[in-house]
Amino acid sequence: MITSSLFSSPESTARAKPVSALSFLGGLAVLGVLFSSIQEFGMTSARLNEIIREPHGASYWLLTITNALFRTNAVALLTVLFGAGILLFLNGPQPTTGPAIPELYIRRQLWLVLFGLFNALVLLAPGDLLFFYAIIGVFLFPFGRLPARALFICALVSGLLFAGKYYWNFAENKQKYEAYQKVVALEKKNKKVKLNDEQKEDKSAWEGLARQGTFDKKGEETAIRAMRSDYGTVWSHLLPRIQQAESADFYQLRLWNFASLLLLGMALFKSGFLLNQLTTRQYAVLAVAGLALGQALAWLTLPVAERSVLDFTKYTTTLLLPWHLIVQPLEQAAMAIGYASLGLLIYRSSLFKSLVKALDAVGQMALTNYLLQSVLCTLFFNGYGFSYFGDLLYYQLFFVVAEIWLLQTLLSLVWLRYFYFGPAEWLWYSLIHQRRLPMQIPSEEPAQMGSSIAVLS
Amino acid sequence: MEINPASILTTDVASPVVQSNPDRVQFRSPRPVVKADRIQTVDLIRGLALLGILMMNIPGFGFVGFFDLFKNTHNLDFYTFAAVGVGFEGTMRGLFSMLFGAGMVLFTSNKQELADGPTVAEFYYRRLIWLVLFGAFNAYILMWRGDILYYYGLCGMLLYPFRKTKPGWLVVLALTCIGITMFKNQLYWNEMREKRAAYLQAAQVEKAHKKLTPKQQEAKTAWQNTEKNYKPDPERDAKRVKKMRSDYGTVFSYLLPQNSSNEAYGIYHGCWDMLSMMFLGMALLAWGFFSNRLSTSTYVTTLLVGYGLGLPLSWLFFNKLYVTGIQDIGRMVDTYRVNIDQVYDFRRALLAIGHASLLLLVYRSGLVPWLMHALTSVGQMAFTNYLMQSIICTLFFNGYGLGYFGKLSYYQLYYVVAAVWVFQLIISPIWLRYFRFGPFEWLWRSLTYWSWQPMRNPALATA
Repeated sequence: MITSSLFSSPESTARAKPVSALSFLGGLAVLGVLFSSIQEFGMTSARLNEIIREPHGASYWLLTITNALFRTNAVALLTVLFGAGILLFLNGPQPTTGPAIPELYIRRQLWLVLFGLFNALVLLAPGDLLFFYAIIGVFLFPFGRLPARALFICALVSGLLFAGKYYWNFAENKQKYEAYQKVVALEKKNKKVKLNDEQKEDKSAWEGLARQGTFDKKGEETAIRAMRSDYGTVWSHLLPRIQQAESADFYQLRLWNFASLLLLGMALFKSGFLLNQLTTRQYAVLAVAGLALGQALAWLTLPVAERSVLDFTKYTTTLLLPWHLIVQPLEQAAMAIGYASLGLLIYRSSLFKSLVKALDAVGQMALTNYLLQSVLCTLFFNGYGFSYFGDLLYYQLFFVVAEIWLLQTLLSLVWLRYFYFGPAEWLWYSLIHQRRLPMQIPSEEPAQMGSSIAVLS
Repeated sequence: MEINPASILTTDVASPVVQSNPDRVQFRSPRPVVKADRIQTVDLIRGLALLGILMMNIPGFGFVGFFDLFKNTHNLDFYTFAAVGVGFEGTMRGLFSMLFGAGMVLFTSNKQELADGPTVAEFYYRRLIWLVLFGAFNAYILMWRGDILYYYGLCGMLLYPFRKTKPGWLVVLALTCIGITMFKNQLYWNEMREKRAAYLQAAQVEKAHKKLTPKQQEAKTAWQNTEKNYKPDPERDAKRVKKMRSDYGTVFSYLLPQNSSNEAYGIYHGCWDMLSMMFLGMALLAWGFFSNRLSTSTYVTTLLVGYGLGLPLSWLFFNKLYVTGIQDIGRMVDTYRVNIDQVYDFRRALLAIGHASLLLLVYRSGLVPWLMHALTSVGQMAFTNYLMQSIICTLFFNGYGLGYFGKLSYYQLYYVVAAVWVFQLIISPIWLRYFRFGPFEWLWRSLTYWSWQPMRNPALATA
């Protein structure tokens, strides 16, 4: 009936099992990524920086800990798993009828571009990831045949480029500061000096950067007012930010960041790590090593990260390297491996059977759940919904997170009792195959098939 | 099963010489004669587009003082600008995009899938990734800000699932892309009009000798800054000339931010410009237009329609945008609710079809066979010739070469164009007598198939 490569055949339980491990991890990652996106949905980044500048209280510690554990690292895990999903799709069985796998794969990615644009531009999720995964997934299509070792090397190169880009930006800022200093010295020497255009530019370039390092109360109020307005206002408020993220940020940073992690995911898939093929001992070692390394990097570079918020000038001028950014690729990779290992240990142990089952359901409907988070947050926080943007304290955001988790887990479990896929998955697969796929599970058939579905595939 | 990659890589630009190689023929369709003919005319038109692109690019390579052109509209400089603008603006890029779309269809349909080993799709995407990197090389290393390879590589990645789409739907897709461009154009124009309206309001307040509010002040400077972009700026030009005539490092760091923002924003906001023409090109290929399969009377009709509608539209566009618009952008914004750019894609598609029809009619008439042969060779080595134009211009105009940047007047630039044309028309057929592909084609292929490709012309090797 449904003979596409989206499924491993339900008969071969040996194959179905690792895939299920993957969808369990996918569930974990999709829920985890809310830690990161809730910050963008719920409050301004200026407010988050204020929490760091203000006297250190509970909010500060909560923010610092969630940042160290999850902010970029939950995204890293999701990205790695999406990379694994690429190979799962490409290595799937060739469908007997209809287009070949490469064709289906490209269609899958191009439809995902539209899902990403929908998430960003219609649901107004400024932190959308699908757009990037979709496009980089096309770039990585020819890499699918590489052996695990070569994929690791590609991931490493891409990660180094990512770190290099951060360094480059930092060095540029240093130059901007020097140019600014020259102009200021000139003005000091001669109060009546008339600056030429270039000097004016030099001066304002740095002043613009330095302004980011201070809290702009008026700016924040304007932003909050805009976010609590009608849909059109929110849209035009967020549009420049989304376009910036999808054009310049993508080109300069995100491409290398995500490509590195997607390649890592492909490598981890090929090497059997994400297929649940290592020994429990190996997973335990990797869990401890990955999390320890990742956290060590996060906490050791914390003072530098804070200095960039507290005193941007001092941060730019005194530091040799922006350490917190330079280590980010390594930190993300280590944490993603650590979380995945930990997840697989949980998956293997018999203690958390119902948790595994629940997260497996969430992971099978990963795309639906990811989009549903945007729907819920956009309606909860923005003006055309309940208008809570900027209204909650930092810790209160986590009540929202917990509610969404609960809702999504229950919904996924119930939904998959009746349907083969989540609604967004169904739409996606039907678009890829250009026909309406059957959705409802016939009542006499046990709901086995869904359990072998791939993470976001 | 091991197959020599060279045999499956039969190209979108195979030459008659390659055709005669017996161990290649078995992988091709059963009608090699028709195919050779078809491929020849695709190359022929590509050759024209390739040479034409230099005509459009040359000001970008070496000219400074664009807005000075409009001070006097009765001299050779302006006539040159007007002739090139009315006749060719956007059309050569358009033809090139059309042929890129057509080339995608030829590339993916010419090859057979191997039993195991990389699929045709994989080769296609590998090829495009290398193309993106070649584009970055062209922009950042050869210092050509107007590079298109990077964009073609990325846009090409969208085309693959449409390679078997029916031509009617391809036209719908092309129109959709044009529609998106038009929508964006209109948004931009509306913004301009708002800016202008706010400025006029502030000006009125000022006229009544009242003090401007900070917001009104802002509106005033915002428009004035926009207006400045339409005026000659000798200071900026002088700086540009100085930078471009410096050593390689200076030019590199001067162009770096421009290149990077072009590539970042250009692909995100501007991909529709290329995609529309690529889809149109795929449709035209499917209809047999590029493959010289239509009747002479059909080509005469497309010629008449293309030029008949395209030229007046182009004249109107040129007049409004460059004559009225640049001389007084304020009045232009006040007068027109609709952005004049809205006709851009229609006029260039029509003109491009007109140019291609004319060329095909000349080809059929058999009037200048040597020129047709030379143009076909240029088109067959289009990738090499395109990069060669960058190499020649970067060395001719920039400081680390002859340093002619900003030294030539507008019409003099076209002496350089003519020289490069003659050079490429002579060198390409000669090169292809001895080698199968142009040097950059050879490199590109070798990278795509990840093994050194045979380069020597097999006909010569056996002789």
